[in-house]
Amino acid sequence: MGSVKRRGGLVRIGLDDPEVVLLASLVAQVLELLGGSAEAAPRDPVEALLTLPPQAEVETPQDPVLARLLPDAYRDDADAAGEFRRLMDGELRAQKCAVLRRVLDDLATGRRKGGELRLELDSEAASEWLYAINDVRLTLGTTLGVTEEILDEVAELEPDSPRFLQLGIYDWMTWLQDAMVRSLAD
Amino acid sequence: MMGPMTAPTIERSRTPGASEVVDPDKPWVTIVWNDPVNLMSYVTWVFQKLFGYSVDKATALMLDVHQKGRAAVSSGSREQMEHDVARLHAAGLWATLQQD
Repeated sequence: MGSVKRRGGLVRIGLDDPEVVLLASLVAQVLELLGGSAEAAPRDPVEALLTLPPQAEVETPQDPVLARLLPDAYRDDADAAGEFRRLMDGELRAQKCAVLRRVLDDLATGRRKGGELRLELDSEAASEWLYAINDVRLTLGTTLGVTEEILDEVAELEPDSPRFLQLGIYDWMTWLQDAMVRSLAD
Repeated sequence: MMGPMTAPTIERSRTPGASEVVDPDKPWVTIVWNDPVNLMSYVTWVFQKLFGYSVDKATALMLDVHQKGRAAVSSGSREQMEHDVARLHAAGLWATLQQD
């Protein structure tokens, strides 16, 4: 079972193997949804120059998950929202992909001890993890149609129903994020 | 921080919206909207981190979002608010800007 503690200015996270596999899978799915690959962007400047930037987006995404991850910046002004998106969409996706990749890297390269992955995150690393975990939760929550009455819903579900399992995964991500935020506030 | 000397960070070819015509001196505000996923603890932390607010101010704003459905979390020039909205989107909060 996962653990989160604050010690010596670092957030220490312990994750067992199933948790590592689950988290890496969820993060990779969000990364793919945002158009990023698990590998970092090409560092070779020539290659970077030759790689054409993706077509700038101006429309609100049709996919409800993408529409939540990349929301309109203007509520009642479609022209301004489109212009903002045209200029900012690429950078926002790049920021989100960078923190998601960081979590994947940490999960793949972190120190293992006693059958657990043990990570020590400074405040900047913990911030990036929180951003990434939040986007995973937004993705799961939007896909599952989570409401603020989620606890009431779970209480009425049969424990062997698929939705019970799905909401259990969502609940675990919620626990991880909340524990990390609280440890940062200590 | 405002006025014709301030170069806009985003160029626009469109004509200004009606709200801008009414009173160009009105400040802009960044609004954060309630959603069922974002955690109260996380939202409070984001407000402290991005805006440097005290835990009390950040908590009060978070409670406004949670209970009233929305809260104005910052105000200033349009360019500053676009910057704040971009940072809030990176953190996964549902934020928009509008003229107050």
